[in-house]
Amino acid sequence: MQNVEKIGIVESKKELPKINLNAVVPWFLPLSVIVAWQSVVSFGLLQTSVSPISIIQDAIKLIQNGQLQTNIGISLYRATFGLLIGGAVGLLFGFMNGLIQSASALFDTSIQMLRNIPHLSLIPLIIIMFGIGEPAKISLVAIGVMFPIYINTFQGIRSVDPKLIEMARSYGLSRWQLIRKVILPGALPNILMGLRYALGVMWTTLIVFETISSSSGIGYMANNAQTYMDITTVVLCIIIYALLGKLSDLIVKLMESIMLQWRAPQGGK
Amino acid sequence: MTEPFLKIQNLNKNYNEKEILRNVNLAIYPKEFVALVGQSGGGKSTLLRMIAGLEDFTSGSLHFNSEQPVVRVMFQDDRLLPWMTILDNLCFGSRRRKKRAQARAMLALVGLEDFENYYPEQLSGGQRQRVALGRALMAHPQLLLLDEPLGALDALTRYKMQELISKICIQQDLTAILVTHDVNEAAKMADRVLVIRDGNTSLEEQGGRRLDESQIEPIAKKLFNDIIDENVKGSYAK
Repeated sequence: MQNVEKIGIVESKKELPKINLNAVVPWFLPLSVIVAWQSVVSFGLLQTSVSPISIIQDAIKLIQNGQLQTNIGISLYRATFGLLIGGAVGLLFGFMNGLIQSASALFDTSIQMLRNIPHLSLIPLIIIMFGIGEPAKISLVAIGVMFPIYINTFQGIRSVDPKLIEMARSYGLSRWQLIRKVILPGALPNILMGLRYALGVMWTTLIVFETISSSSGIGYMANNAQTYMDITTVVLCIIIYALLGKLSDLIVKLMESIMLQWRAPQGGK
Repeated sequence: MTEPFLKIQNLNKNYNEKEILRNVNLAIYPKEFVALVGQSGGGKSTLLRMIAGLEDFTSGSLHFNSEQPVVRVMFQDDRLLPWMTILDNLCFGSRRRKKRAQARAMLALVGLEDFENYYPEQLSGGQRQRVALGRALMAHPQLLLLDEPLGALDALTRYKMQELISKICIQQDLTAILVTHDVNEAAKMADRVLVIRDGNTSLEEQGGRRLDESQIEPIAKKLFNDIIDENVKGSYAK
């Protein structure tokens, strides 16, 4: 009889659907905070009207009148262009200085000096030079993202295993083949690390600039809402920044999983 | 008499005023397997690197009996590119057409036909060295340089690799130079063993590659005595 019961228990366990804990665990904390926050507001334990439900309602209202998507679009445009310009300059100097000793001697010290200036302190200068239009915002984002991409590209190239370079030389590879087949793939993990860091800088820079002087974008929306004491929209803007930051991070992770799949291969030995 | 494939005359190498190699004279003939043995820091790897064109020499001459000789090096560490699959690593540096088909045949030759889509990290040290050997052989080298390629392997894997390298070198009539500090390895694999002492290759012994296995041990013993310093020999005797 005992055996029959045991068998029954085993069979019922088999029927349970398997839950991938790794996929669930990261969402546990944010979901708990949202549930707790909504409960506290709903039961009147907190003297505020800002709750997850009110934020969702506010988002729906802002989507219906077109404000939310317009401002997100403008912020994304500034972020993307700033990243493309700053990233391209950072990559260019990173590659040039990493590969050519004389270029490194000429530019690296100056770049390191500029890197140590907090780029947000340039806002007054940029406003004087470009006004408060799009070029000013894109320039500041570009300056912000340029340095992490430069540093990591430069470091990545310089840290490629010299033994691999020597092996490639002994196999008679041309300089271009050496860069394409050995140096670039060897430097890629560092470059992607720089990109990931640069994306964080990109959003921070944009929030600050849009909050200080802008007439559009998520930062402006938050600043405008603060003027009218609309805390729900302020919190909504903060959540949008968090989601955009997470989205950026996911994109880089996806790039890493495609480009660096050799770092975590399955099986073997 | 056959012309040497490689002729080295009065070769000297100094580093920071220190004499690494002095007045080295050496001739390597086609299809022969030559081993360079000697104590660590004796200059045998430096000589190999100069033959490979990876290091300059101070004076002397180094001539190949070919305008653009195809020379390939197999290093002590496998130096496989971690971002390339095993098949791509084999094709690395190869300009030949149909190189992927050739690479598959090479994988079969080194006994790794099931691993073409693996990455180097997924292979053991011995397997990685077999890939490195295959990569070096892909270009059909006129001269194969082996820079202590088995130094980091365990005894059994090392024995298997010695057998594999010897078999392939005989099958393909390869000219090869092996640098090793293991006198048994040199005695077993080479036709000719050159002993590097005090930066020079004046001592030479016959290797046991084409001899009976029973003749290898005496050669190894003789090589050991050739290499070891007189004062060290004295301290052993005490």
